[in-house]
Amino acid sequence: MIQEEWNDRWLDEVRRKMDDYQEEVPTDGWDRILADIESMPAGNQSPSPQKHVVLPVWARAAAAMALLVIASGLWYFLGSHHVTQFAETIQPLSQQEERIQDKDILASDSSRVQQTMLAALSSHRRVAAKTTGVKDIALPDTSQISLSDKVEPVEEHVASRDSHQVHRVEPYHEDNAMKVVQHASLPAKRKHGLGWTLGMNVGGSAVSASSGIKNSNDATPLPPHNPNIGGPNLDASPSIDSIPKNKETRGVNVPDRHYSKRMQGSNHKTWSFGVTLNKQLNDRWSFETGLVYTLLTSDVYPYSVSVPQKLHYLGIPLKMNFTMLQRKGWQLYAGTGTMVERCLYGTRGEAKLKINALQFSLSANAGIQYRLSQHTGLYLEPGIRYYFDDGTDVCSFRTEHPLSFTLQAGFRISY
Amino acid sequence: MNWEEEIAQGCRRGERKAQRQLYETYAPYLMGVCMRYVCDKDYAQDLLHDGFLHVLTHISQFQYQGQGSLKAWLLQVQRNVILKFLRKKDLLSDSVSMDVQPCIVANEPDPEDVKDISQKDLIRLIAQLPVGYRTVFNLYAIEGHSHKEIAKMLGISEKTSSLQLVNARRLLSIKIKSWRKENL
Repeated sequence: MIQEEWNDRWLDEVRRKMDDYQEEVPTDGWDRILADIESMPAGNQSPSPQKHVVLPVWARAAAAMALLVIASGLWYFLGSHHVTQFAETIQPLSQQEERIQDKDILASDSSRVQQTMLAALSSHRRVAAKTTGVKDIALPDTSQISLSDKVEPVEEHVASRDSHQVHRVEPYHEDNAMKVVQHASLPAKRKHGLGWTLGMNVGGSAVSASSGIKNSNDATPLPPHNPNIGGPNLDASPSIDSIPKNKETRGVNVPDRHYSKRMQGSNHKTWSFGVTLNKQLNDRWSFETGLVYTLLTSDVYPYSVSVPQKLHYLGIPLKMNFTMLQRKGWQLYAGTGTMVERCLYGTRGEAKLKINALQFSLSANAGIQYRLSQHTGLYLEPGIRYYFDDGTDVCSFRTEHPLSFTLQAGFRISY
Repeated sequence: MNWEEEIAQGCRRGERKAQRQLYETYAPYLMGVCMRYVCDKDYAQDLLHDGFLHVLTHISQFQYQGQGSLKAWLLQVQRNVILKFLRKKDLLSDSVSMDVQPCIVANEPDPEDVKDISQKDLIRLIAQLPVGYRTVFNLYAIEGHSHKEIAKMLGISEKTSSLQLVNARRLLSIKIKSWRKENL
């Protein structure tokens, strides 16, 4: 014990000597610090402590508006009117049989049409089975498929065990695809408050569905489509066609908008990749831009057969983000902005598509980020995006669903 | 109002005069702290620069709690910058592996033995310790932190901290005795 106390005394002496130890500082030390301080924006030279965040009224109103817009988007895509539309879109099996009897279909196309019909019928079997709980549904033998121009009311006759009943088919979201919306990285808190943030997004989508309209010779309504626009987004909209009631043109349903000129398509496997830069303007606001590449893949029906269509877009997003709350590694923010895109290259089958028009869109989103470390973070951004009509006749998901709900996840690096 | 409060208030308001006064008053001390940990003048100057930038941009977080509280806060900020640098460079991990190495048992020096050594020579001896030993020695023996606090700061166990301190003490004892033989 004595030895230990004795030993600690030499450590005390070391402490006494080193406690106030000073070293010569570099002669230009203060000048370098001053230069760095002056290069910072005024707001970040001495940030105030963020112990209790009280948002001003206008900021709370803006946040409420953003939430309202997002909620409206959700309601729009998940709302009951789409369910009704979907029910209207699904044709009775007997009707499909009649539609395939269209004698104008070229002989070379008939086998392809029948294959499509097989898929459609198979799908509808599952729908009917789900809806009714009855396994045995009276479906026509696919070998007896025929075509006609007749359009039937949207009801499905299903053979139940005891009696024939009429069932309204509920929406079947078989092709409710993953949707991706490329978009910006959020402002990350930097050491000096005004750093740049680099965001990288990669998105993909699952199979999508058909759009609502076909050419007159087209026989089989395909499943609805879903678009993809950027980082891993989940399309919340039920994949349904939006063909209005009682519209009939040469034997097929035609919606009011776009489709009189545009061909029908089914969109699928859309991917987006992007790199975004985020500049912190002050503690709350940040500006974001970057480059976003989007591939819109569709099958269009200029004739009775489908033709693959690929559109390669490059876009520049311009966006403002507002940080609402920042606590213990979590950051809550909202943002709004625009994006201008140009189709770099497009193909439809063997033919090249040239689209000169610019595609403009507006977006609003909320976002939450969790910082994994000082420089990295994961974020999730639900939002909505509205695509303006670019004035072309090219069918894509954007022409089918100009307003779409987006959910993006990404990885962010801040330095 | 106390001088420390006044200068802190001036820095909060962004007054260059107050900021410069703060730098000129405490920079030599903080430079000494940097040298105790990294023992390299270039690194120490860079760390001082980063540390002071952090001080000036976060001065609003300082709360005056009596005389000496400003210096203590500055030390805390500078130490955090240094430890972050050491973690980033992964310099702390090599010392952990040295835990298992046997240390030469040495009789520890008398307090009088240390008194004879100048500050410059003593810091040179401390600089010869492995980074991990030196860091724990600085935190425990010079700045007075407990092993629990050190473990939390460095992300190691209390046992590791304790072992590193034992090894640092033994190694420094040998170096002090050796220095005395050569210089006295």
